[in-house]
Amino acid sequence: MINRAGVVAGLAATWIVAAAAQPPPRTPGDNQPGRKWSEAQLKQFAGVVSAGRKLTPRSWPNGARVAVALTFSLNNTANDLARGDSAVVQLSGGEFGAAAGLPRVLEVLDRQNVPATFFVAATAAMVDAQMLPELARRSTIEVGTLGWSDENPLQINDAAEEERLLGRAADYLTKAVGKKPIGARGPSSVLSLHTMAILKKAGFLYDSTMMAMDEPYEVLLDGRPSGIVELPVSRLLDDQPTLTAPRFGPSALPSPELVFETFRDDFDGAYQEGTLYVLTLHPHLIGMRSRIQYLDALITYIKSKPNVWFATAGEIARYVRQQAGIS
Amino acid sequence: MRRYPVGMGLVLLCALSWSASAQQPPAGPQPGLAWTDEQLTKVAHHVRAGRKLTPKSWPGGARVAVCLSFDPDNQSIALNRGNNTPITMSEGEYGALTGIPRILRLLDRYNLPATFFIPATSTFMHPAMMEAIKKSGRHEVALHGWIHEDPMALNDPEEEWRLISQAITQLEKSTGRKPTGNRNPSWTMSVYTMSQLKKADLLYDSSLQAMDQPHDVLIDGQSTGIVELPVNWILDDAPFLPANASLPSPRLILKTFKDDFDVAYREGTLFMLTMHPHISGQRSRVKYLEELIEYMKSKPGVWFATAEEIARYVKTQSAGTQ
Repeated sequence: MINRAGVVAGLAATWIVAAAAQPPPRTPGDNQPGRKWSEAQLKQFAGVVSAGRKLTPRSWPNGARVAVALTFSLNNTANDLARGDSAVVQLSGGEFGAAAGLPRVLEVLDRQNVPATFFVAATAAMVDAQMLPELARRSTIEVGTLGWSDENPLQINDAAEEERLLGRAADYLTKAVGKKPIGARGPSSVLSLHTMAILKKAGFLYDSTMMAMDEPYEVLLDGRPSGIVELPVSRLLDDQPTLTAPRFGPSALPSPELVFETFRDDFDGAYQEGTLYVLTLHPHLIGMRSRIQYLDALITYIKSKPNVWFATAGEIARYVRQQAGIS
Repeated sequence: MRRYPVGMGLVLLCALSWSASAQQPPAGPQPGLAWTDEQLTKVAHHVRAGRKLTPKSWPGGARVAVCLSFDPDNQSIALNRGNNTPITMSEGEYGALTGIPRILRLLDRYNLPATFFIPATSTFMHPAMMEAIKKSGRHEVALHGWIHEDPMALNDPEEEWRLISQAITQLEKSTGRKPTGNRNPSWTMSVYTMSQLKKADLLYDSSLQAMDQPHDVLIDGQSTGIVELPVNWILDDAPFLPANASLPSPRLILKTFKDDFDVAYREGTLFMLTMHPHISGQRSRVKYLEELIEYMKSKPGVWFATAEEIARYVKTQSAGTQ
C-alpha cells in the first residue's frame, strides 16, 4: 500500500540517490584530478558506497564453521545483445551456456545435492526459455537479478533508466520463477553510484558484486548503514578472468587445474577463518567438458570437510540479517 | 617515446631540422635515434646507479638481508584518476579492511618487521589501518606519493614538490615520525624526482632497478648519498597475481620468489619483495607468502629488517670508504 508517508519517503529516497551520486568534479584534460581534492572531498567521494560492519555471525546454522555459496552468473549472450552485437558465431558461444553448459552444471549440482544461486539476466532467460523452468522447479536453487541484459550501469549513467531496467528485470524473473528476487548481482559485475540506492528502494535484501572483504558486511550509503547485506565476490573466485576463451577475454590462466587450485586454497582460508566462501561461475565457461570435472571435484572436496553449510546466497543473507538484528 | 606524441610527418621534419641544427630533440616515437653521443649519455646518466653498498657482512654475521615491503595503495590510484565507482572503491577497501589485517596477523605470528609504503591520503582514509600497522612497533611507514600520483605524467616540478612535501607532513602527522624512505608510485619518476628526494633529505629510495643489491644513487654523475634498495617487477605480486594478470598461480610465482631468494642468499646481498595487501592479502595468496617466509626462516643467517634499518646499516658500513 502506498500512503502519503510512503510517497514522501520515496521522493526523499530518489532525492538522496540523485544527491549522493554526483560524480566528483574534474578539470578537462587533467587525468589526475584527485590529487587536488581535500580530505573532506576524498572521504565524501569514496564514501558514496562503502563497507560497513562485518556480518559474519558467531556461528553458522547447526554450528557450521563456514558458509558456502555456489553462484552462477547466467548471462550467456545477454551482454552481446545489450551492445547490439548480432555476430552469429559470438552469439553461439553464449548459447553454449544454455544448450550445453547449464545442463552439465545442473547435473553436477543435482548429483552432489548442493544448493546454488543463479543471477540471471532477463534477456538470457528470454532467448533460451527452457532455462528458468529448469531452475524454478528445483527448491535448492535461488534466482537473483543480473540486470535486464547484463548491461553496464556505468555506461548508462542515468539513475532513472537503471531503475527502470532493474524493475523490468525483477518483474520478468518474478513472473517466470513465481518468486520475487531478493538478491542482485550488478550486471557486467558493475555498480554505478546509483545502483545500491535503487536496490534498497526496490526492497532487495542483499547484493553480491562488491569486493571490500571476503566475509559478509553491511553496505553503507553516504556513511549510513543501509540494511543491505553484501555477500562479496572476488575476481580470484570467478572463472571469467582466467577461463574466458582467449578470443573474448583475458584468459589469464587457461588451466582449470591451476584455477581450481586457487579456488580450493581460498576455501581452505575461509574454512580456517570461519567466514564465507562465494564462488562465481558462468555456465558457458565452466560447463565445458574440460572444466566441469574440476567443479565436481571441488564440491566433493568441500563436502569432505565437517561443518560446512552449503546454502543459497539468499539463505545466507537472511541468516546474517537475523543474527545482526537488521529488520 | 610516448612523452612526445606527435604525427609522423612532424617527426620526419623535426628529425631533419634537428640533425641539421642539433639543438632540440625531435618529437616522435624514436627520437633517441638522432641523439648525439653526449645527448645519449646525458639522458642515460641523469639518474644512475653509483657504487655497490652491500656490506662485507650483515648484522649478526647474517649473509642476506630480507625486506618484506607492502604498498597499501588501497583506493588512492582510482581516486587520483577521479574514479569513485562502487566496485573499484570496494576493491581498494579490501586492502585496508581485509588484506592489511591478515598480513599483520601473519607478520605477528613470525614476529617479522616490514616496511609499508603508503600513499599519504590512505592514512586519513583508513585510520584504523594505520593504528593496526603501528601497533607492534616493528614496522616502518614510508612514502608512496600523496595519492599514488604519476609524476612523469604531471611533468611539473612545482606540483611534484607540493605533493612530496604534503605527503611527508601527512605521514609524520599520522605516525609521529618523519619518513626516511620513499618508493615512487608505480615505480615511475619524473626527471625531477630524485633531486627532490635529495632536497627532502631522505635516507633511501626503493624504486630503481639497476641492480639487485643496495647502491648509491648518482644524479648527473654526482653521488647523492641516497641509498637505493632496488626493486624488480618480477619480485612484485602486482604483475602476476591479480586474476587477469600474467600468471595468476600463486604456487608458480612462489617458486620464482624462492629461486630469486636462493641466489640472493648465495651471493650474500639483498632480497627485496614488493607486495600489495589487496593481492597478497587474499586467502589464496597469503598461504604462499607464509610458505615463503617459512622457507627463508629455515635458512641460517637471514636478517629480516625494515628498509630503513637496511639503509642505515649499509650507510654506516660504507661511511668513510668513499
